[in-house]
Amino acid sequence: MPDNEQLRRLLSLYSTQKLSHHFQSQRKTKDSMIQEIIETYTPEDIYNFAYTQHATTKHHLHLLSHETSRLAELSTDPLDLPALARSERTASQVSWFYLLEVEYEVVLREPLEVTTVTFPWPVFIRCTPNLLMLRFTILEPSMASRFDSGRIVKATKRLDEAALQATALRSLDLANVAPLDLNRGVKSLWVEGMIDAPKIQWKKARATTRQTMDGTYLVKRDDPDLYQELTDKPLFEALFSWTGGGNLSLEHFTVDATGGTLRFSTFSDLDTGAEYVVREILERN
Amino acid sequence: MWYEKFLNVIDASWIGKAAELRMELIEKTDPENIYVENIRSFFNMPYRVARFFCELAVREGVFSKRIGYLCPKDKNIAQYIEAGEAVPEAIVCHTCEAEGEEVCEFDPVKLQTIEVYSLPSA
Repeated sequence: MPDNEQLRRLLSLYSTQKLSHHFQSQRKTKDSMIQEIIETYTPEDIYNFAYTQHATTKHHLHLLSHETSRLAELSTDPLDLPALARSERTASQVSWFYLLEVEYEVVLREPLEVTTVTFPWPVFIRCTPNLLMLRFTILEPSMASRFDSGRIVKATKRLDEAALQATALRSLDLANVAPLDLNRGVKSLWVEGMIDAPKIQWKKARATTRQTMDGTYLVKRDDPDLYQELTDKPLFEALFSWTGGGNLSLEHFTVDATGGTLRFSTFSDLDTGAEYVVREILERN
Repeated sequence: MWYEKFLNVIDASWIGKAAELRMELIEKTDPENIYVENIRSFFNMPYRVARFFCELAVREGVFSKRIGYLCPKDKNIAQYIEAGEAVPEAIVCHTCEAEGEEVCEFDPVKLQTIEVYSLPSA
């Protein structure tokens, strides 16, 4: 049976708007809303919410291409951890949703003390015949609520995304795995005027360089010479603003088009948020 | 001049057959450092097709290939390893070293990489 503190930490990873809407809560603050949800709903209800709304959290997304079409033979538990909350298998995709327990080592002073704090970490993995996607919620643990902030020297996470990805790749044993190059999809959206960049990093022939625009200037709109220069360059980490209008529930996202990773640093909605942006990029890629 | 050689190589390869705008490609490309994205964007083809042609060019001896290991701090190429060569246990970023960074040696398995093609004797 999970303790209430773990459920509280899990729910805090989701937006107030999502909590309020899904659990029909009228409470004014996020803390009181979470308290009400824990008192009213079962852990299973909360896990279902965590699963169905996972794409609305702040998260990192890793996209990898592969050439394994036999999905039926894939591992039933690629992370081999006792935290597999959901798993779904159809003819065209397999997915796994984990609620990992990640430990932070916290160093405190006066008196010197080393202790550990555990946080739930929702992780979603999906495999289709040519794409592997790993989605990691961004944890923003508040140690200040547990310890006097003046005592905290540092807090170190004991499990990271790279290690989990490596474990999943070993377990799934996919053929010809490589980071999915997203340059084509991202540049197509850029050409169409759907996105523009306040900050961009790219690969020149003999150097890697970056440019951060002043104020609210954007590369394509306000620095057309640079935009032209970038058309044939591999893009690395770039912050894009959504300029395509519509009813999008996020304003910015970060993408490393050559490394196949995205970061969504704000909450968003299911149909008009991170998943929508990823779909738009992949459709053009 | 290198570009005359580049032109000859391109004329004799798949690139020359596919590209009427080869002079433009030559002007835009550093023959020592050609990335898949340079080719992909020029011909507006999917990444996997552009990479396939680059690999074909390697097999035909038109291109040679290196793997660039990116420094996690600035994503500059910290070290090049010739394709097929043994990867060292640690990749050193000399820029980080010169700047006195605490960490300037990295496990190559954990680093992002980029494929770099070049004309063999460019």
